[in-house]
Amino acid sequence: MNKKIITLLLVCIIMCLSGCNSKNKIDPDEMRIKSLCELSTLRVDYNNVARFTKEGTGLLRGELKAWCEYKGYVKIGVDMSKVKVSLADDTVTITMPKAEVQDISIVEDSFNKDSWIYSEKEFWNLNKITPEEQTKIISDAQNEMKEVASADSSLLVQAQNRAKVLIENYINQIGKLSGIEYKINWIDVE
Amino acid sequence: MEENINTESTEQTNETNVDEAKNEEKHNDKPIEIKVGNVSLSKKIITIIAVVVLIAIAGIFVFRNFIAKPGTELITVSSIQDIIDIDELSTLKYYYNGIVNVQNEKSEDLYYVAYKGYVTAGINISDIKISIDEANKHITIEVPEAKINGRDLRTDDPEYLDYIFLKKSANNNDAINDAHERALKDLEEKTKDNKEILEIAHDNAKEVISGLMEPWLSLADSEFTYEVK
Repeated sequence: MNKKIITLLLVCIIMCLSGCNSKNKIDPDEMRIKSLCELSTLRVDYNNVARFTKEGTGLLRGELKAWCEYKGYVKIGVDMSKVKVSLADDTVTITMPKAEVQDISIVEDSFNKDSWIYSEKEFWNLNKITPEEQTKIISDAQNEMKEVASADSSLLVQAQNRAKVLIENYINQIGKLSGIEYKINWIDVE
Repeated sequence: MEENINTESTEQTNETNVDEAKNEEKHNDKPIEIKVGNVSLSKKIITIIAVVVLIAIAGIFVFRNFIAKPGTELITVSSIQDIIDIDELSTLKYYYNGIVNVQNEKSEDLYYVAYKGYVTAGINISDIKISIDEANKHITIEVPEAKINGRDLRTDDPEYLDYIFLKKSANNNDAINDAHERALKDLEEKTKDNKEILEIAHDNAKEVISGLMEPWLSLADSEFTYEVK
């Protein structure tokens, strides 16, 4: 009788202990990781000056400089469609492209025709900037700003780190709940 | 006669057997005692203890595996602080390219200087306030207002300064020499309390906090909601 009770007790203790350690195993979810990449996108606002010099073509058509101050923003992030996730044992391998400028936009009401500054205000200078030229000047300024942001390693690295921090946090939390210490293997690709 | 003696002897033996049986019955009525160390425990007490222990163990097993939600105990102010420790992500650079209008004493426009600059702005994570409403299972994270941390001209760009001279007399070395200082002063004045930059810095911090909170909370306790403001 006593042996039976002791055996039963031991079985229950083992069941309980094993039950305490067997947490629900959750694997890192690729879709969730991709959505975190989207959340990590940086919006960097800027104030910019579009500048253009129209060459002079004669006495009444002197050189003309035209500037326009306006506002815009760039979005810098990781292309989530290129992110790949694989899980082997307790190692999560994440292939991630470098962050890039994903979008560049103008704040439309940030400038108007009065925002333009010209070097020549004299009526006799027939060298004028046309509305079409104004549009092109702003467009060129936007392209230049995109190049500047695309070459700004501090912004690109920050956007990528932001994505990595969010993903690492997510995987670590899954690991805690599953009782697994996941190792993260980052593979950076172009 | 001999038969009688034998009969008596048999009767005596039978009586002796009955006594022994009675004694044995009496002996069986005594509780069985088990010695654990110097303490003696009866079988009934052991059974009661065993049942209580079994119920307790079964209770713990059921609670841990079927009732308790994984991670519930993780939701505390300090665990949230650990999750949103975003010091390295709290500051961002914003380009600020502007124009300075230089006038004379008569407020006449002399020339313009276009400059390329930047500001850094962000939040102080130690000022983030976290409150947990256990009854309504709601977490509120208050992000402090962003501040401008620094600013400078992008002197690494050879074209960081440019000029439009409206009066030819203003086109001299003084104007060129003063341009850097004027541009820096203008950058400071225009970005000092620039609401747009501060709002964007605030929003960027809020987004990264949401990105950290969302997966964590959905895993820790999906019944909780949160708000970052």
